[in-house]
Amino acid sequence: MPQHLLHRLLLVIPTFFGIVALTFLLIRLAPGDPILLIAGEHGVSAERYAELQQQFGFDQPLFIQFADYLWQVLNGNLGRSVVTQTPVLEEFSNLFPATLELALIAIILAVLIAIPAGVLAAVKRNTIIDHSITAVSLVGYSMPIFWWALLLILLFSVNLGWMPVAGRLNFIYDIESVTGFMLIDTLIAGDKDAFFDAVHHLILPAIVLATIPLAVITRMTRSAMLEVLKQDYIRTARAKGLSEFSVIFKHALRNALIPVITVIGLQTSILMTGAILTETIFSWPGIGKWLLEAVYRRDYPVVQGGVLLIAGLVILVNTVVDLLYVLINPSLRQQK
Amino acid sequence: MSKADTSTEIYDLTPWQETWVKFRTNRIAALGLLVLLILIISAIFAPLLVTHDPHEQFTDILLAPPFWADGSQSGFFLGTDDLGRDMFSRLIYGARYSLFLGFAIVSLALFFGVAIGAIAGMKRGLLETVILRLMDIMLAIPAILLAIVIVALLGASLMNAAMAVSIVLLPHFVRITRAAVITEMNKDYVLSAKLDGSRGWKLLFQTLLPNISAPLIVQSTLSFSNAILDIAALGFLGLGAQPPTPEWGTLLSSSREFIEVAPWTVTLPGLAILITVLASNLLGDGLRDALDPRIDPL
Amino acid sequence: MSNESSVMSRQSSVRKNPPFLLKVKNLSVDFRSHGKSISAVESVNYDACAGETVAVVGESGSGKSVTALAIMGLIRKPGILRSGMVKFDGKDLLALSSRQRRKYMGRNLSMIFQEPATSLNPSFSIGQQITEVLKLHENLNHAQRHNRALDLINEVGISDPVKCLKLWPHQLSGGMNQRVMIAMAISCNPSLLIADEPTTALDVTVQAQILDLLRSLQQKNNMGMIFITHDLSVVSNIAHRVVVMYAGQVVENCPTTELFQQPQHPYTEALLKSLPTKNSYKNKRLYSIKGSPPKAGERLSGCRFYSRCNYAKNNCREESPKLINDLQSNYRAVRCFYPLTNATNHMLDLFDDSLA
Repeated sequence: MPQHLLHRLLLVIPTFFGIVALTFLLIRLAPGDPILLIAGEHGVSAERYAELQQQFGFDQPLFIQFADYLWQVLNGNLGRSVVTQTPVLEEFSNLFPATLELALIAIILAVLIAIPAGVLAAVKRNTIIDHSITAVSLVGYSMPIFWWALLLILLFSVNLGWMPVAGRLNFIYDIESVTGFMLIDTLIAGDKDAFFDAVHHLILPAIVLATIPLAVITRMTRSAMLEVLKQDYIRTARAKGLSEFSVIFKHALRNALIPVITVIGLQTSILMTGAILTETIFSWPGIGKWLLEAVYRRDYPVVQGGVLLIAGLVILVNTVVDLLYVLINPSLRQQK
Repeated sequence: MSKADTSTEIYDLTPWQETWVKFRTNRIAALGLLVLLILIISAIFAPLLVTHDPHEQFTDILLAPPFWADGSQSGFFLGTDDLGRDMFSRLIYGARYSLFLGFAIVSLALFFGVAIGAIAGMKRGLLETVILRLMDIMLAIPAILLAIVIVALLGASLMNAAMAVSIVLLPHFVRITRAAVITEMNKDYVLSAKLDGSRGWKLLFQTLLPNISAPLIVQSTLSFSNAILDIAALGFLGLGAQPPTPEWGTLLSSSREFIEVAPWTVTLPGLAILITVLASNLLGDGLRDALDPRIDPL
Repeated sequence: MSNESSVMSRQSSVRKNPPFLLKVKNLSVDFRSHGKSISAVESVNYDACAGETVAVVGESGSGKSVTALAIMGLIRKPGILRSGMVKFDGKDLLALSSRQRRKYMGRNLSMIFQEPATSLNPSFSIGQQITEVLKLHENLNHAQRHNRALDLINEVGISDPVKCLKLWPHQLSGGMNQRVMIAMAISCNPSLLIADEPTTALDVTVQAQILDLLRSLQQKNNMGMIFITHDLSVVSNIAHRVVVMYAGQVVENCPTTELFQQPQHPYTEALLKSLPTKNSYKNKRLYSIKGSPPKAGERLSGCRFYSRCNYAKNNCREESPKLINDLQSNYRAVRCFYPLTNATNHMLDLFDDSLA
């Protein structure tokens, strides 16, 4: 494996370590007694206080506490929710598929529209088509998505009555959770009506979540294509007698996609931010809504664990994207 | 004046004048600047512009629609909210929160970002590595999530939200400054300044900063729109400004339940956010084209 | 074989077969900028026979490359083809639909460019880029294409063709990339190759190798070649005929040997004079043409070379000369009211010097 790939992988370790340290400090930096924070607002008995103090090791020196926390994290123990007493990791893994399903559909939607739109804008540069695409993507890029969500609900759910207002599935359907992906689970259950109901519920949240990535990827594709279309090798491709379609979609797009893929990868962070807002508005039972509710309830173990897991996820995706960047870029791939 | 005249004119200009000439020809960016200026002026002169006190409740005129709809009340041309407060006055006062907070947040992030980034770029070595790792960690946490964590720790208030957003924006400034400083440090003019005995903060402020300001200005403009969006989002989630503060995101969130009966209470604050963010993005894009710094467009 | 004899032997083949392979007629290309049209190429005429190498010589901005791009149908916005005809193989390429024209491009008619390093697509291997042309124009299966690509790589003088096909453009030197470009260009045995300053971006030693390669391929395949260069000293080695362009116009068109013996246009003479000779180190300053070529878009009445010409007369300023065939020999033409005549001996000396 090329050395810089290895270097890139090794960089994950200090970053992950830093995230662990940050979440460790989270509770200890909060004003007030950390044990009371962990115990929640309702107060605790003296025994419970001592129990918690021992459980979290607050009687130990900070260094020991951190070592212990790190050990627990590495063993997959992220503590229990103060409110539900369920292990944080368990709650996370129950809710994560809902977020992942929404985020995947959103990013697929965004990529499927953004790349052709960006290419079209670049090819039709300075025409009305280009100006329209650029204007729409700029508005999308500037959109407060929580407002956008409300507008869509107002139009499609309230006024037209075409779309459900909230949730993942109508309560009349009882679908066994196998994969956690509603679209797949309804198909496994063989319930066609439930499947379409799930699709129905997914449409508005997916559009909302896709909005910003769609705008960002369109802008990036356009500018990357404009840059690539100026290159000498595009002239060579035309001189070969290739059709304009091949020139654009084979020779130009292949090179333009290198920065675009990086940008698509960077959307993970934007998607997670969007998920918190989108899930809250559409009552989508995912980790975004879960985390926000934990903040409202001052459920610190959930906040701590949730932040750790989401940040870990973002780091993971960013690393994969970096590696992918090297793999799709021949001039980097061959370096020793 | 013909195009040819403009192009010959450019040769006699200072870099900043040249930027201004290029910027002026970009009508869209100029429009963004104009809209922002109008918003800033209305925010400053809000007390003179508004028709009512933004907190005054006209309990007999609840949820009055704006002037174009049936049943609108004279004197409340953008209607009233659920407590009978004048929407127009609340929106104008809301501009104060968004714009001034936006400036404050970006200034804070810019100041500390430049300081930390310059230290990393000038000192190099272990300190630089530690700073960069730290920024990587901050970038790995989604913006709103990091803000949520900070607000969760310090409690929900406008000031805490602003601080959180400022911290979220910090890493971008640190990275840009560090990269620019490293590039400039190898240039001859910096060497000559060093030979003249200029070092440390003096070298940074007198020699380096004027030459690395282009990417920082562009990043500031783009961060400004992000700051406004994030503040509004936190307000909407109930983690920023608290009612009855007429901050736009908070207005939106408290009107949410009336979306069916009084949609204008939801559409108007959102439109205000969109217009402000759009204007500053237009300005940022225009500045980027005019200054042409080689920074990541995102 | 000395350089001189090579030129003499090239001379013999010129214009024995009048059916032209390529005939460019009245080709004009404009560039639009800020709503104004700027003429880049003005009514250019030249032609090439099968197996003939025509060098197009001129300073940068003289329109030589633009003409070549127009022949290939590669003029893009803001460039506009205003008028003209490009007859190739009996058909007017400019009148064809783009789909029909693409059947010729890369197959019967191909082109190589100035910057080999950036002219190859960085995201495809050498093998992919060569076989792409074969896939497009030839009816071969996968294995046949691969073998043909190996042959082509061999033909352009790259050792270890098997390895080369797997490499990427950034792994090869500029000279190697240009060989790959040539392999791609000749892959379907074109009858005409346009080489747009193919050696300008390369090291001097590599330049000579690429020139040798082009010349030998041209002779072996009896290819017509349009060789675009700003370097007159290269021309004598490779071209049968020279077209001299100035400010978007053809000013002289003449067989190579005669051009060097007796240039008729003052600009051509000036170009030849400014070539370094073996005596030029002896306290003689290298000749340079006074003034500078007209800027693009500058509207000129009269002869475009007027302000820089040593022989200009009054009417040169007002009237535009036409490109007129020499009355004595019908295979040379000049755009000048007062073609030079008696410089022969002087120029012959210079010619010998420049090649020594």
